[in-house]
Amino acid sequence: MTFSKKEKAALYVLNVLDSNDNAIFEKELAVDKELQKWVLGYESTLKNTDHSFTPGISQKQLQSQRMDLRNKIDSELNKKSKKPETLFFRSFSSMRQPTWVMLPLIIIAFFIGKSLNAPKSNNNSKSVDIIQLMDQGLLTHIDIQLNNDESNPIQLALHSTNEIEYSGNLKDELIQNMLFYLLLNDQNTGKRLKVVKLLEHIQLHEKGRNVLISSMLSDPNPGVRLKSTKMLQSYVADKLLIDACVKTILEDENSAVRLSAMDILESHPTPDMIPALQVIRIMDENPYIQSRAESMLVEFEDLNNGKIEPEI
Amino acid sequence: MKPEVQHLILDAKTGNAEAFHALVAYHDEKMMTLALQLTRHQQDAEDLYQEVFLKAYRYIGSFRMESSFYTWLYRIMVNSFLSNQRKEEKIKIQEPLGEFNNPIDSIPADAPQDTDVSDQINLILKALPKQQKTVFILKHFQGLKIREISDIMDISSGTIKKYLFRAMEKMRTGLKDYKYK
Repeated sequence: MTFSKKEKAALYVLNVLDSNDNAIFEKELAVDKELQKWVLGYESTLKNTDHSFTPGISQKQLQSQRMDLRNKIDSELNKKSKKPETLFFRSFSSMRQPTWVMLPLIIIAFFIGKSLNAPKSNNNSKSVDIIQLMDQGLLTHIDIQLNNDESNPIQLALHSTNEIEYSGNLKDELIQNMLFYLLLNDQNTGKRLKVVKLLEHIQLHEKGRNVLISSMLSDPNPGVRLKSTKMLQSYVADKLLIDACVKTILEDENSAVRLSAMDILESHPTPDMIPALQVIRIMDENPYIQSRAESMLVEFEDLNNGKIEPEI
Repeated sequence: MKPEVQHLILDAKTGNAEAFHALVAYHDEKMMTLALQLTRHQQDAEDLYQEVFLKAYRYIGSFRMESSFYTWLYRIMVNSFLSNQRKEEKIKIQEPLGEFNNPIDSIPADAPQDTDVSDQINLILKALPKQQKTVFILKHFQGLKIREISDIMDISSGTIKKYLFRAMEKMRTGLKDYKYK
């Protein structure tokens, strides 16, 4: 049974084939006994899952959740309405004061009010919105565009949940933070690749480096992991980076990513990595990686008079 | 979208909290079901429910009524769930290097016959990559169309089909000893 036939069988059972593919598949199914077995297998799988998982939710349970939510929303509303300045002004204005005291206060209050109501810079309010959305995990569906404005070449526009547009360059902290956020959270692989390529143009500080480490360890796409790992080669390798690279050479399924992590380890050899190298020398499926691990172990041997046990 | 729901949304957008609570009552059973299906854990599902509706309350002003309110809520729930999962994974990454077990390996290949099938499904779902799991749940348990899942998760329909097939294959392999009667 070919991979593509299995895929079609699964999608047929899930009822997601388009009408054309569906008709072709049904014709094939009528004559192919093995295909019929696969379809039955997938159908049985789905029936098992139907049968076993239909969560029962009681109205009582929902009511209690609604009450909890109501309390949380009420407390948010209360917080909003009890702003300290409001209380101050309310208590002050409730006192009886002679006119000569009130007049200068009214003038001062007029200027304070004027300054408070002055329009704020547009970019600033957007920054606050964007940071809030990031904190809330609601920053999704962001488009990145590069424009011809040399001082602000990157434009980030948020479409689905809010209409926010923000332009800046790579030195802009908010732009950097949004790119970090996208690299770690966006589901679109192309966008994450674009982000990691943009970040390549600057030397990142610790936060940025940690974002790259996180991307190397957990991005689902090998291309993004590889790019992040390659970028990490230009950073000083501390224990965090070494540990992350050791984890990568042991666990990453992509040999190019493992090789790139190996490059970092090679330029910063420490005895802590010896056990991992011993495993790689024997277990890695790629003979080139095996031989690289072997030569690193030989170097350790040479440097330690034939002993390659890590220091305890 | 039903006119009464549309009315409630417009009221809630102007800051009417009671209209928002009415919207919650209208939509929350489905949302709690999805929360339970995603988390497979009562307390986590309740936390997710609260998180989603609080976010919806705070951001309803930005809901543009171009999609259905359900799609918007689903998007918030899926994003919150995936983001929480990522945070959990990062915490795990920070733990000291030790075991490197692939969770899929922890599913017993020869599952004992007396194990409840739902326990086995729990194990398989837990071991699935989070995107595959989410897509499978939205399609199979929630009955959403590919286009709707694509809107919610911001991924192409081709990718969704790939995730669905991979999830189905892992389910089939993990459940091969449990024949549906």
